[in-house]
Amino acid sequence: MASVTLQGLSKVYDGSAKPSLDHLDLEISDGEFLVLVGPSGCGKSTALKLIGGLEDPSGGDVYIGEQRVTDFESRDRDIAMVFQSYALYPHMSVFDNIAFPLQIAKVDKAEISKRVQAVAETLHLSAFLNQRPGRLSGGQRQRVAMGRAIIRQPSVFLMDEPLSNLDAKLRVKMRSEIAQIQRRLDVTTIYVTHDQVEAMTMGDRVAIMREGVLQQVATPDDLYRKPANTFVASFIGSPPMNLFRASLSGTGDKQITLGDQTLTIAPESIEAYPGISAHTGDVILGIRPEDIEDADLSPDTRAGDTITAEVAHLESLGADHMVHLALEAEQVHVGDQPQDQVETPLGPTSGGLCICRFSPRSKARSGDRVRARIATDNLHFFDPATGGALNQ
Amino acid sequence: MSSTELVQRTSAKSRFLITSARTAVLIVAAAWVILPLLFMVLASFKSVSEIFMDPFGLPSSWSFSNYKRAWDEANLSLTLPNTIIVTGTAVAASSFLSAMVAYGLSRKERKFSTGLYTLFVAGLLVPVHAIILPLFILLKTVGLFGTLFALIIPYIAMGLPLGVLVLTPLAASLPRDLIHAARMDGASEWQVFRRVVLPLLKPGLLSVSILNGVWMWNEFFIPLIIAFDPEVQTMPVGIVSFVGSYSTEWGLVFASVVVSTLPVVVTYFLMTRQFQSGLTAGALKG
Amino acid sequence: MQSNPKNRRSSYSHLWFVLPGLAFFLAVMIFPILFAFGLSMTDWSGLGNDVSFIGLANYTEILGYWPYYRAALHNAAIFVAILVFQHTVGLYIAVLLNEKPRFMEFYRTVLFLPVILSLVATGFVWTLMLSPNIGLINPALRSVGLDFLALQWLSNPTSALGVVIAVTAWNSLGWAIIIYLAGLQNVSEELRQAAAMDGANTRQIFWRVTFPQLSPAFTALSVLTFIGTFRTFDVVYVLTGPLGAPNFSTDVLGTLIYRTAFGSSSFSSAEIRFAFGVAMALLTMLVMAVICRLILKVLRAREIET
Repeated sequence: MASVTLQGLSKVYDGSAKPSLDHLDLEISDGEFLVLVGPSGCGKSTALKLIGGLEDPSGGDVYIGEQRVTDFESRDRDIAMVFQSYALYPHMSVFDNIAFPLQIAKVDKAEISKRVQAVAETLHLSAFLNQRPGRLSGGQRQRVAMGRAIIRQPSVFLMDEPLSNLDAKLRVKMRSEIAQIQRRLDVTTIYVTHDQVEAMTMGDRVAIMREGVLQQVATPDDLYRKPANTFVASFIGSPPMNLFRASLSGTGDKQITLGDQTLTIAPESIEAYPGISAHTGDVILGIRPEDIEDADLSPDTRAGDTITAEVAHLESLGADHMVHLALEAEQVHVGDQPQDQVETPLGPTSGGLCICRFSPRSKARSGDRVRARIATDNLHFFDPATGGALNQ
Repeated sequence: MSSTELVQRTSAKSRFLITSARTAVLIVAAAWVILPLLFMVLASFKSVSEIFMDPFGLPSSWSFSNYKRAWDEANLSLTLPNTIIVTGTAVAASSFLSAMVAYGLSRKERKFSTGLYTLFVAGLLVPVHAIILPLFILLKTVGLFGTLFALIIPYIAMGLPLGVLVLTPLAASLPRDLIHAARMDGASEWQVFRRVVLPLLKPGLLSVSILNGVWMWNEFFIPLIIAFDPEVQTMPVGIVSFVGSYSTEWGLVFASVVVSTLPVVVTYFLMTRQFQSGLTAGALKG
Repeated sequence: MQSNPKNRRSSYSHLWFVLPGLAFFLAVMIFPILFAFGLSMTDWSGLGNDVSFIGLANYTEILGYWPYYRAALHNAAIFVAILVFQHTVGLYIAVLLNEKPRFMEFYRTVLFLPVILSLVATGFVWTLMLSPNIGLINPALRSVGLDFLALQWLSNPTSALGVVIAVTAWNSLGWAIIIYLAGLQNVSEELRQAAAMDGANTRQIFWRVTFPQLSPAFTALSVLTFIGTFRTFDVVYVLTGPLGAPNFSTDVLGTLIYRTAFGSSSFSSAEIRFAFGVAMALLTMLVMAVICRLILKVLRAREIET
C-alpha cells in the first residue's frame, strides 16, 4: 500500500515539438481510485507509462510512498498493470498467465497454486485455468488480466483503458466488478479511460487532461458541479453542458443577455456566484441540459428565468425528451469533445442549439415554439478569453 | 449460368483431354524425380555385378551387406554421429542466438539497430570461398582445428544472417504490451526474452531451423576444406572422399548416400508442411 | 533524493542481446573477409612464408585471365537455362497443382523432395543414371532405337555442361514450384472472377490477371536462381571433378576458385595461388552483389507498375 506522487512529470517524444505530458503534478493517496480521463492524445496513457516505468520521463519525478522511483525499472516499482489489449501471454495457460508474476518472483509452487486458485475463484475463472487465453471470451480475458495484476498484491494498480475492448453490456458489469475488487483490496489505483461515464462512476477522484495538461482534479460530484473551465464543463456530462456567449450587466441584480433573450439572476441566488458579482460584459454561459425544463410544466416561473425558442429537433429517450432549442446566440464549441457525445444536427447558422432534458410529459414537438424555464441558481460562468470558471 | 459453366458444358470432351494431358505432365515430372531415387535405393541393395546385369530390377535378395560395409569402410559409423552432432548443435545455437539478436534489434528506434541489421543480413552474400582460409587459420590458432567445433562455430555464425533476417521483423511485430506486461510482472530483460519473446517466435524459429538445418546437414565445401580427418568429417565429404578409393563399388556408394539422406527425408515426410512453408518463407525473405 | 537507483535500463541494454551473435558473426564472417581482402593484395601461394604486397595486381590480372571469363560464362549459361526452366516448367507445374488435382499433396511432396537432398547425393544419383553402360538413360534410349543419342554424357565436352544444367534443374525445380504455388495462392480470386465476367478466356485471365500478380514470386525466384547458380560448386565437383572436366567444359567460378586457392590432385602445388583465388572470390562477390541489386531494381520496378 502506498501513495503515488507525481512532480512536474513531463514527456516530450523524439521528433515532436509539443510535450505529450506537460509538468503533471498529482498526488494520489493510499488506497485511492484515481481516474485519468481525457480525449485521445491528451497524455493520460503517457502518464501511466511513466508511472509504470515503461518509458523514461523527459523531466519530473515519480514517488511511490516516500520512495523516489523515477530511475527504477518497472519490475522494481511494485506495480501491476492491466493493459487495454490485456497483454495475456498467448503461449501460456490461464493458470500460468495468472501465476507468471509469482513464478518470476520464485514463490513456492504450492503457494502459487493456492493463490492462483483463490484469485480464480474470486474472478470466476476456476473452470478455465487450463485453457489458453486465445479461447476465452473478451470478458474472461479481461478477468485473467485482472487476476495477473491482483495476485502479486502490489502497492499500486495501473489500468490502461481495461474495458474499452468489451461490448457495452459487459463494460457496465466489469465496471462495477473492478470497482468492487479495488475497494476490497484497498490498493491505490490509477485508471486511464476516455469514457467519462467510467470516470464518473468508478473514481474516488477524477483527473481531466487535455493536450498534456492537467485541467482539473476533483471528486466526480465537484467536477460536475464546479467545472474549472469550459473544457471540463463540456467533457463531463452527457449530453454536455450548453455553452453560449452572453453578456452580464447590472450590479445588484444580474442580467444575462443571451442573444435576443434576457435572464435575470434572482437576488437570493446571487451569492451562489461570488466570481461574477463585480463582473460585467462578455462571459460564456453554461447551462446543464437538466437545468432547463418545459415552462408549461413548472408551476412557478418568473419572467427572468424563461426563454422562448423553437424546437429544432427532439429525441425521445423514454425517460427523457432531449429537446434541441434553436437559440439566436453564439454557441461555444470546445475542441476534443468526448466521442460518445450526442450528435447535434446542424442548427441555424446564425445561432446555436441548446440541448434541454425535458420531462416526457412535455407536449413540445419539433417545430413548436416553447417556453423553457432555466434554473438560474445553477448556472456556470466562464471567462471568454481563458475559458476558466468565474464562479469560484 | 456463368460464362465458365457454359465453357465447361460445351467442351466436356476436350476438357477430359486437357485433364488427362495435365495429369500426364504431373506424372512425368513426378517420375523424373522419383525414378533416380528409386534406382539409387535399389542399387544400394545390389552387388556390383547385379547392378550391371539388371540395373532396374529388384535386388535378388534384400541384403544389407552394402550398408554394413558402408558403416565401417565408408566411415559412416563416424560421420553419421558427427553430422548429427554438428547440425543439431549449430542449428540450436544459431537459432537461439538469432532470436536474441532479433529481439535486441527489434526496437528499431534504438541507435545502431538498422545498421547492425544490415550488417548481419549482408552476411548472406559473403562467399565461403573467400573466407574459408582465413577461417582455417583462425580455427587453427585458437586450437579448435581437428575438433567438431571447427565446423560448429562457422555454421553457427553462417546461420545468423538468415535467422536475423527472418526473426527480426517477427520480433518487431510482437505486441509491445506483452513485453511491457512481463516487465511489470517483475521479469528481468533476460526473463522477458526467455519466457515471453522466445516462445512467441516459435514459428519463425522453426523456419530458420529447417532452412539452416538442411544446408548444414548437406554442406560440402566447408568440411571439404576444414575437416579432412574422418574423425571430424560430416557425411557428404566422407562419402566423396570414400568414393575416390572405391569408385566402382556403386552399391556401397549408394548405401552411404541413402544413409546420408534418409534422416532429412524422413523428417521431411513427417513435417512436409513445415518444411515447405519454412523453406519458402526463408527463401522469399532472402 | 538520489537514494540507490537500481541499475536503470539504459538505451544500450538491447546490445547485450546482440553481442553474443555479433561476436560469432565478427569472428567467422567479418574478420575473415577483411583478412581475405588483405591477402588478395599479396602474392601468397597459401603455403610457406613467402608473402609480398602487390597491391591490386591480382585484380588487374583477373581482368585478362581467360579461365575466369570461361568459368563465368559457364555460370551464366547455367543461370539462363535454369531461369528459363523454372519460369516455364516450374510455373506450369505450379499452375497445374494450384488447380488442386487429385493426389495434389503427393505431387507437391515428391516434386519438392530434391530440394532437401544434398547436391552430393544428387550428383551421385545422376552419375549413375548417366553412366555409359548401366544407368537409366542410355539403355532407355537404346530400347527405343535412339542408339545414336546414347552418349558418354559426362565425358563429352558438348553434353557435359548440359548434364550439369539438367542435374541442377532436377535439384531446384521444387523451389520454383513451391514459390510460384505460394504466389498463386495469394492471387485474388475476385480479380479472376471479375475478368471472367468481363469476358476474358482462361488464357487471357492467366496472362493479364494472374501472371502480373505473380511478379513478387518471379522476382524472388530469379534472384534466388542467380545467387544459386553463380555459387555452383558441389554438382560440378561430384559430376566432373574439380577440373571441370572434360577439358574445362564444365569449369565454373566455384571450381576455378577452389582449384586456384587450394589446388586439386592434378595440379602440382606450385600452381596453387591462394591470394589470386581469394581475389577472384572477392571480385565475384562484388560483381554478384551489384548484379543482384540491379536485378532487384529492375524487377521490383516492374512489380510496382502492375
